[in-house]
Amino acid sequence: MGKRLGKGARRTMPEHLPPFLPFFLGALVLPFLPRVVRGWAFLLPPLGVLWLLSGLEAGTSLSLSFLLWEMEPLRVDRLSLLFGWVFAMAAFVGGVYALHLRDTGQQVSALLYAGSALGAVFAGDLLTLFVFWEVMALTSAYLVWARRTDVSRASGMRYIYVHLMGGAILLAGIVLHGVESGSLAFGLFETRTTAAWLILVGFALNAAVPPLHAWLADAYPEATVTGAVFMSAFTTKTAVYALARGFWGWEILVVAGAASALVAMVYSLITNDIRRVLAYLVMGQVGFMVVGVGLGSQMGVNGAVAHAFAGVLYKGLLFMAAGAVIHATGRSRLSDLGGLGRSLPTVLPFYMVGALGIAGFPFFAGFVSKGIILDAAAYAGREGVYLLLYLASIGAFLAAALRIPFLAWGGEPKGDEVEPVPWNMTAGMGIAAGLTLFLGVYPVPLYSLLPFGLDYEPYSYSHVLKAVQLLGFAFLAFWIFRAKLGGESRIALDTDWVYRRPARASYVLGPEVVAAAFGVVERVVYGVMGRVVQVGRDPVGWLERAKRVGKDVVTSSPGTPEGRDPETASTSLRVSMAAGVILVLTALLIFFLRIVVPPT
Amino acid sequence: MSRFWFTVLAVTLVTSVVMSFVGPSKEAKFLWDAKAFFAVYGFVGCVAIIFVSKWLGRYWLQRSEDYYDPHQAPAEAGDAGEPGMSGEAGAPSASGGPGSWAGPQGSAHGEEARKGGAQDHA
Repeated sequence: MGKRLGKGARRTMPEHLPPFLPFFLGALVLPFLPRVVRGWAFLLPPLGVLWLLSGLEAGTSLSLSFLLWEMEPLRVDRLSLLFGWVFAMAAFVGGVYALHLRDTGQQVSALLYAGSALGAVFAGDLLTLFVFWEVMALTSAYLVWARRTDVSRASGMRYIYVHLMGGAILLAGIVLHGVESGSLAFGLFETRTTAAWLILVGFALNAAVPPLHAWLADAYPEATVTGAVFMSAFTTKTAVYALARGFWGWEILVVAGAASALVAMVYSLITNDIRRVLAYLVMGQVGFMVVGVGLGSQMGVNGAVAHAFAGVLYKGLLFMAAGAVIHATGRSRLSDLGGLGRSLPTVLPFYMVGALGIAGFPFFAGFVSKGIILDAAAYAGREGVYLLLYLASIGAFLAAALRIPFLAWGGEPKGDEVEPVPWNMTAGMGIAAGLTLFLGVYPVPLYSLLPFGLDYEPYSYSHVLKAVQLLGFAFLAFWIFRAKLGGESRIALDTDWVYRRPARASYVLGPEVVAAAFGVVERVVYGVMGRVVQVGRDPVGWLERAKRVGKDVVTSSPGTPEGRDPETASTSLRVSMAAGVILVLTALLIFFLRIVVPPT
Repeated sequence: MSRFWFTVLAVTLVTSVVMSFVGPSKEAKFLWDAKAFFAVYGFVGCVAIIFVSKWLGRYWLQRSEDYYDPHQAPAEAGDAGEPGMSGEAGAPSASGGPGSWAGPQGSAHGEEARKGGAQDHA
């Protein structure tokens, strides 16, 4: 790892407050504030964080001893600072978007979520990172549950299970690493030990690397309108940060990231739910970042974190615009949407800024950050990856900037009632759109935040021409075959099939089979017990009755078809007595053999 | 697309291709340094993406919406085929794909759940 990344001069400066503190304090105070001011009060912690960050310098560190381990809950360097800035901005923009919200649970969990994402980014040791990692999973799951539908309840449950599993793998890796190396410090994993692989899997799950990606497209579309905006910002980007710090230059990440981008591209075109399409787009963009991390060059890491920074802004914007559509129409499936150009035209410009940002259109943020990753791939001699990533760019353009607008805003209106979009939602989208455009036109502030020095000119003749040709001709192809890309009211199976499909089989095998078995046992036991009770009440009388049955039948109704055959009755009695005798004899025999003649 | 926008598109595309021939050229180091490579790649790539995705969706990945919990889905016919842009909706594998539990039921529950949720979300 380079000099500036990870190995800065460490000083213990207790006067520096950890930048995630305002979020946790805010979450503590918020429930006690009057309901009407909670939305506004939500905006204060992000502002506090921005203020704290402006006073933090790279190299600041805070260490303490916990049990036998040297912990470092605060470690500031350029890499963590960049993520700190963008997370605070995302929390602020999300707060503006959610200003109208009257749901304390969501507000508190969003604050805790943002705070733990910041905490994870500033954690200098693996144990601190793990704690924040898990808090992040729990608080974000609440944002799914807060929608309070059966579908979101089940989806949130799957989300939390998957993340707890990932967390368990991560913890196993951390413990193993701590025992092996004697240190919990979080830096680059230089050797490919089992511990490092386990930690990598834990991180990769949060970065939605296939085949561990299905949780993302499963949960994000089921979250609340405002919750999804927060979710799109924090979880995957924290994972990108962790990969950039710990697994910089690991070759497998190049393959994994490219696979991510391609898988996401296919799904984004065959998925029907508007936010599920966006969720797959998030996954694809995170794939770009993972490639950048895996390339192992300074430019690659620069590109990855720049893309994460820009991505938080324009992906948040896309989720905000899609949320506004859902808020206004109450519908989220593309096959149910249409004609919003007439009823909801004001959201479209904001949506398009985000969509062109994700497509890497010139003058939008993605053009700059994606360009850095692609150039890094070319310089590293990864020509196949370069071409695949450009293909994925076409896919993102197709899904985000063409398919969704044409299906949702174009076409005939479906359904009539459209609720107005609150002003603050528009304001949130406005801020994010402004930042996306600003960074696209003037990326220097972003460059100055990057962990390594960067000499990159996005607006070169060839780069702009490339983008115009690529996207222009992609548009032409889309226009010719646009009828193919409609929304179908069907779902697309993903790897969550592995744990969703067997649910029914396990229900049959579990409760149903067990219940049937218990039913049989119950009937047998009740039958036997009833008989035993009947006999035990009066054994002699029962024997006499049993005899008499035979005689009565013989005397009273010889040969009547409905009477019991005396022979059979007495035979069954004899047979059962004989069986009992045999049973007792067998038991005695076994007893004899086992005890009296002990086995050799 | 109106005639105006079609003209804009055509002019942009032609100009971009022409510019790659007349503009400053660097030595061809990679495959993509060929003239107008990205124009071809953009078009061919886009067509390939559309057809491969649709094919994968139709023959492998797409199922009816009640695939995962057929219990809760009330039957509602006529939900499979949407008119308009999706010319291919209601494909034969919609609800009878290999190993599908779901009978030919509709898919109203997802919609209802979403509608209900969207009202109280925020």
